[in-house]
Amino acid sequence: MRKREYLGQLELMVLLAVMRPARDAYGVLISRDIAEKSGREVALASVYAALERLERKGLISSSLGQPTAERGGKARTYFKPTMAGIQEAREAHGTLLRLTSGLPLLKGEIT
Amino acid sequence: MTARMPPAVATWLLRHLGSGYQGESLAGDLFEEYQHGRTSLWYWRQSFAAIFAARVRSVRMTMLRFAASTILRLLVEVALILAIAAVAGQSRQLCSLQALLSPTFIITLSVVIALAQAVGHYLSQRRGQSGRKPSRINRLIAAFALSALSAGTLTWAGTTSAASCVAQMCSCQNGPIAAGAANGPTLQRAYVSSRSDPN
Repeated sequence: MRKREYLGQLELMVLLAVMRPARDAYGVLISRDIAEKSGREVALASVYAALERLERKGLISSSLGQPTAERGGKARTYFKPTMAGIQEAREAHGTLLRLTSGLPLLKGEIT
Repeated sequence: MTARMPPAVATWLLRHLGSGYQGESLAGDLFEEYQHGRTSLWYWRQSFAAIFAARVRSVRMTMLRFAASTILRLLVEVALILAIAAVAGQSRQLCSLQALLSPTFIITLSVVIALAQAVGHYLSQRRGQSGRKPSRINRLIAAFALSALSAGTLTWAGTTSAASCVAQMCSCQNGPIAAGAANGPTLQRAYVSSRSDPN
């Protein structure tokens, strides 16, 4: 079995939020997406910390947009997944599916 | 439409203390969210979280850099001490002054010390500039270089002093006994036995 670094829960959530199609992912959208889907609000600083780790691992890449008045003259940083990031998310998804299959507690079948 | 201005103090603190990864974008995101109806309390909380994260990151990086440069410096210094110990050991040998002052010995030792210094300096500088962890291969190279340099210095100094000094002594005392011989310890044994044996 090859040795690899596992993604943390927040890292995985951020990576999946970055992978959402048909939009340019940036901090606010990623944070909103996670809050909607998980029901928990995450500090933007935590989202950026996870983004930094993901970028360092080569799972996402970033590009700087144009500064806008809506943001007080600050530019957005857009993120998109790399091929390695997509592969990593696939593997994590598969692992979770395999680990959770056949667990009665997850289906509410409490004995 | 006039933009709602977020708390100025929080913005100032964020700008001066929260400059971490993508600090400008984070500040822009907070501003954007504030325009979409977030409260001042929310803004303060997010700013504090960003400042805290940036400070923790900064302290961690500083500590890592300090630890790595200290270890590298320690390795280089150990290599230098070993090299100096080898020189001192050689100087204690009989008739080794000639070997110690030979240009080959001095040049080789200088190169060895300069190499050890250069490796340590290069790695610590590089780490300081990039602020990232050096890759595993770099660490392996550093460890290998320093071990090899110190071990090489000791071995070379030891064999040179033993071989050349004993050979000289033997050629002085017993003439041809040293001729053609290449092994220091063998010569030393021969020399000692010839001195102890009256016949």
